[in-house]
Amino acid sequence: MEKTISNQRKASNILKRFGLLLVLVLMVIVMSLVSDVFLTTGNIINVLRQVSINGILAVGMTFVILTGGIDLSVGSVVAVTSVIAGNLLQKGYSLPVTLGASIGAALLFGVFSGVLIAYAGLPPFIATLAAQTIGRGFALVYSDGRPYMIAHDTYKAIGKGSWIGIPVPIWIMAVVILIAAVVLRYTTFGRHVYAFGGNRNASKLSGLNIRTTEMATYIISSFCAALAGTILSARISSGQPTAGQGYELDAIAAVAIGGTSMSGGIGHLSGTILGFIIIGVLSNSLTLLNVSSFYQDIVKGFIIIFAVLMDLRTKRSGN
Amino acid sequence: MAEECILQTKGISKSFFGVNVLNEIDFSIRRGEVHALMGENGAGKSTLMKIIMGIYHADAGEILFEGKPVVIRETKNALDLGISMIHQELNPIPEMTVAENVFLGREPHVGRLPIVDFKKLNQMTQDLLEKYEMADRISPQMHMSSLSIAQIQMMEIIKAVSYNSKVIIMDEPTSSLSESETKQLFKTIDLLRASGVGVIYISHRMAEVFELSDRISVLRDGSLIETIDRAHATTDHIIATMVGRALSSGYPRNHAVPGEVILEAKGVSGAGFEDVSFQVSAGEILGFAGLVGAGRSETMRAIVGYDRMKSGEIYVDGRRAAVRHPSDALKLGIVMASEDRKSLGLILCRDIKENISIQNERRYSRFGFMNHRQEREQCEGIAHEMSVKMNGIADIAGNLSGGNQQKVVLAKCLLTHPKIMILDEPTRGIDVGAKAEIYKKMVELAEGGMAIIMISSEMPELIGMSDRILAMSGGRVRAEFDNRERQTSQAEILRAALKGVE
Ligand SMILES: Nc1ncnc2c1ncn2[C@@H]1O[C@H](COP(=O)(O)OP(=O)(O)OP(=O)(O)O)[C@@H](O)[C@H]1O
Ligand SMILES: [Mg+2]
Repeated sequence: MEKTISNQRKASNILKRFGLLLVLVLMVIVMSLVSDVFLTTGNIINVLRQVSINGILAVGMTFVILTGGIDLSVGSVVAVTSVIAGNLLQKGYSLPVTLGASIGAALLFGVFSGVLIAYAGLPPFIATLAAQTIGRGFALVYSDGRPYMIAHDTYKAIGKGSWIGIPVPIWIMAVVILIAAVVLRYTTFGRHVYAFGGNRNASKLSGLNIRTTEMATYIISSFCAALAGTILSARISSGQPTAGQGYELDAIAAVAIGGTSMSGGIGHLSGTILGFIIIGVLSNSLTLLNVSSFYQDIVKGFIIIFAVLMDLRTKRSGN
Repeated sequence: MAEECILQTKGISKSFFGVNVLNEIDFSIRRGEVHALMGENGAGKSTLMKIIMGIYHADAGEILFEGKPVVIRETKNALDLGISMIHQELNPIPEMTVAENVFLGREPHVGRLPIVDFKKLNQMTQDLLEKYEMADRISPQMHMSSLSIAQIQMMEIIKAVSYNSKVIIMDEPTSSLSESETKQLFKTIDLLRASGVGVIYISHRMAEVFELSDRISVLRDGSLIETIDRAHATTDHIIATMVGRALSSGYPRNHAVPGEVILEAKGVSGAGFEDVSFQVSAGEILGFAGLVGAGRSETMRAIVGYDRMKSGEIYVDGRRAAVRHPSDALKLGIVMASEDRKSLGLILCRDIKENISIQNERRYSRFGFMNHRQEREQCEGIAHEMSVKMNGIADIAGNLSGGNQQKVVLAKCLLTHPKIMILDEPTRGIDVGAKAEIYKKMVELAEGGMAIIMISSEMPELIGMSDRILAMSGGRVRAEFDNRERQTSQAEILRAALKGVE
């Protein structure tokens, strides 16, 4: 008896994520019918490389949103990372020093938001909005508004190179996903993130250090943004102060499409992965279909609504 | 017969995830009667009521209102028909005032403008509070977030009454009220009954049910076993029908000889309590009596480091202890099961296992990594030990019945194997059978050397279980009673609990 119930439970869980998968499968079927290139290895790798930056950001964002927060600063942190890296490489610093400084600066932004939110009690929306404008402003002041050309070959390989036929950014994304999955599922910290998002008072009374947990998620998100910024600047061989504008929205969209509750406590990394792949496949498809990028944004908005509605429906029927 | 029934259910069935929760329930409520609904935790009482209110939808069966079949799709339909409900799990909007919560969505307007007439709103609420004699406990302009659970409960009562309904459902309305507030509620119920309202009264407290009700219905495992006139019912009969077997009544005796003092509080003060001092020894059950707002929960929350303590000292095993955070308390072996399971006890959107394990992760994690197998085994073990009624530990806590949620709270505290356990209203919402088990468990633990502090608003329970009783009022300890003989009189305790209260 108990067995059958838990099986039913499992079935309904699969059903919950089934909706999203269905959206993705539908898109793939339609696209493979109308386009010859879509299902080629080259294009698939292309899609994965294109989603890698948003994918990495979305993984970090998942942690934050699971606690019931939000991180609007990631786009600016991408820019901060890339201008610092660009500048230091131009000045001839070594790769480790450069990465240490650019990623370190990004982490400081995470600490900044985290302290404001977890210790000073600012709402995440406000604190990270402030971090967003401060970060953007910093990147512009630091670079005087001009991009830094990057000539360092090893650094560029982070964005352009590949290993056994697969581009480096995809490898980085895969490693990030793997680590995040392990952290969320197998560590006590992962449990704390869910617990905190579900009920912070009960978590505190149970002896969890809720402040460190909350702060850590913003540092994780900033770290992911630093990786994304490194990949981006390496790929375009330049450190741009205007890089990453609006990236936070795509990351949030991926998490939302993935079914993570915006009020925290409920959600899965697998949903986020489906979320950013759906967004990626969508842009790729529209490009293959020669839709202008202006229209792409409109279509993207509607697809987000559609995907989340599908997800809601299957969730309800699962109950 | 059918005419005098205001509300009737016929053949109502309901299942969740393929598990039957209600089987063909025929239930009725007459004009001007108090109909008690009893049954063990998870028997389906709240579910039946939620179906009547349109929160859940029955898989089969129909509802008749004043003889005519009605379709209740959402709560609004029920309210429009004249059915209102006080929920077991309270749902106030914390940012609002009492008055705003009571008349939520029905606020009086200034003329025909879309502007709320706050003066009138507060006056209307004040009138209700005065009519039902609660004005001395809450006032219309208090913020919900500043109220205790009992005060929130009173707000919910006023709210339910304010709809002028023909049927009022009360799902364990007294579970967090103390004696005097309960009396107040009973007066309210008498007024309602006299004016022809039908009251459905769900409670695990036998005495209340016998004092109030005209008829009693018993649910067991989702079936309505019987409906009986109160005049023909006996406690033993009802209990036997509820649990399907006879139960020994009374309280088990704690035979432990009190050992060394384990916990001592010296002059602790904080928000809501002043200069509280007490000691508790190994093997001792220390009871805290007091009215709502006496500062008992506040004191304990500060002792476990949840709230800030302004001054005072705590000694554990004779050594000065610095408890700044509940994690410090946990390390010292002090845990607290809060009375407020919804906001402090449980993470409702997560499953039973995670709820139990967050407080106990040290037991099955190394270097921050969880051992899932150990976690599952231990959580499953303690959940079964506490006889939580569930399909498995992967059940979402929020889907459990109220009493079963309470058992999960106790389970997670117990698994920490504390030296000192603070239980704030531990039997709140728990059925008779499970109550007896919890009492047994408490005695077992005390005899095993644990020090237990129990806050309770149920006088008989307090007197039946405690070795010593401290009475608090107005944030101060007013009296101490040696209760080893279980002889302290309720009147004596009450007198102390009323001291300093105007
Ligand atoms: N939304 C839900 N999803 C799944 N199961 C549910 C849901 N609501 C209730 N149940 C299950 O239905 C059963 C009956 O629950 P109900 O809340 O009606 O019990 P109850 O008689 O009110 O108990 P208590 O005295 O503890 O309040 C329980 O086993 C509970 O786990
Ligand atoms: Mg109930």
